[in-house]
Amino acid sequence: MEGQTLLYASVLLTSILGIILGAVALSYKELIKKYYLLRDEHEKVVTSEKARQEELLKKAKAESDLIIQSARQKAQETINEAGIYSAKTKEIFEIEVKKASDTLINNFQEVLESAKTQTASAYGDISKDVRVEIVKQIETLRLALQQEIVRSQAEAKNVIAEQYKKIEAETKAYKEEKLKRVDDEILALLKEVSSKAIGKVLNFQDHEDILIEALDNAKRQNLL
Amino acid sequence: MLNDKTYSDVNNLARTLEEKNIFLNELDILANALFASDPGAFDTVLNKSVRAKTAGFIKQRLAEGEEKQALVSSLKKFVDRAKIIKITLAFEPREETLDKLFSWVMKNIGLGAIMDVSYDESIVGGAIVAVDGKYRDLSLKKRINELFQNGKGPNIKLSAQ
Repeated sequence: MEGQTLLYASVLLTSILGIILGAVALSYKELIKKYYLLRDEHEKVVTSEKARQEELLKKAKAESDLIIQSARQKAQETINEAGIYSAKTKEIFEIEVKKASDTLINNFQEVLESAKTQTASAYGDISKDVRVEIVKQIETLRLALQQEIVRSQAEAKNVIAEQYKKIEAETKAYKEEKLKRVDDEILALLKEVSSKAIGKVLNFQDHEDILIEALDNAKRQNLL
Repeated sequence: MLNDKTYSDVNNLARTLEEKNIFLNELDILANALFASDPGAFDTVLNKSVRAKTAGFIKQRLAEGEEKQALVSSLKKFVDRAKIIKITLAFEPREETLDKLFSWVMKNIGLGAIMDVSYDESIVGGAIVAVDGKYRDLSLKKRINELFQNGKGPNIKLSAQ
């Protein structure tokens, strides 16, 4: 009975531990799945943003080219229309216009590069943050799982110890009760055997003597 | 007027409850015969319908001058008033046992006591006595039980091991 109860308690606890481990494994699987989804999403966003940046750069370059072209054209028209400037002046003016347009283009390029760098840095940070967050969550999960396993082991140990104590106490009580019953039965049997044996060995004379003696004793003790 | 010797003799005719009932029945028959139309009815009953020892006792009392009706009446009163002592024995008593027991009762309880005797083998020996509302278990069964309960019997205690 003791062994069976211990076996049932062990099987029950192992089953509970198995269910907990299963639940934790499922949670872990869900977390990994979430990680992959986030990573795919992150890659998509990065790719899409890169394409957008390229497009933006192209567009900006086209616009700047158009502006420069337009500026040159207008300058040329102005020079031609003026007709009062000397060749030297025209040359100097063209040089200055070119310088200005180059400066403008360089500035524009710098602004674009800066924007690109900032965007890339921002997305890089996002990626890093996600990775750090996921690693943190996995570590938290690992710690929680470890704690849960330790706690379950301790709990199982305590439950088994308690069950063992309970069974031991019950067994002791059962044994004492049984022995008490056996004692009572033996005493009852001895009484019966003694009574029958005494009854059988007594003859008529003995019976009469015992009877008169008992009556005399009762009389002496004022019981009659 | 009946004296102690007479009462003792009467008590001998009705030692037990069974004998008391027989004796009362005999006295009733004799009393009825006193009022019968036949003047010899009383003697006829005395000689044929009552036990020899009863007839002998009555005849002796009448020979000593007792009046028939007064004698029958006083005997009946005496027996009716008798104290009943209930005694349970462990064996079926023989005549000698009843004599011994009656002698003890006469000596220790006194005149006017009638024994109601029964037997029960389970009491092993001795007796159980009930008189004047008092019950006394003087049996061997009780003494054996006391021995076991007081731990004076065989010491077999498995639960204490």
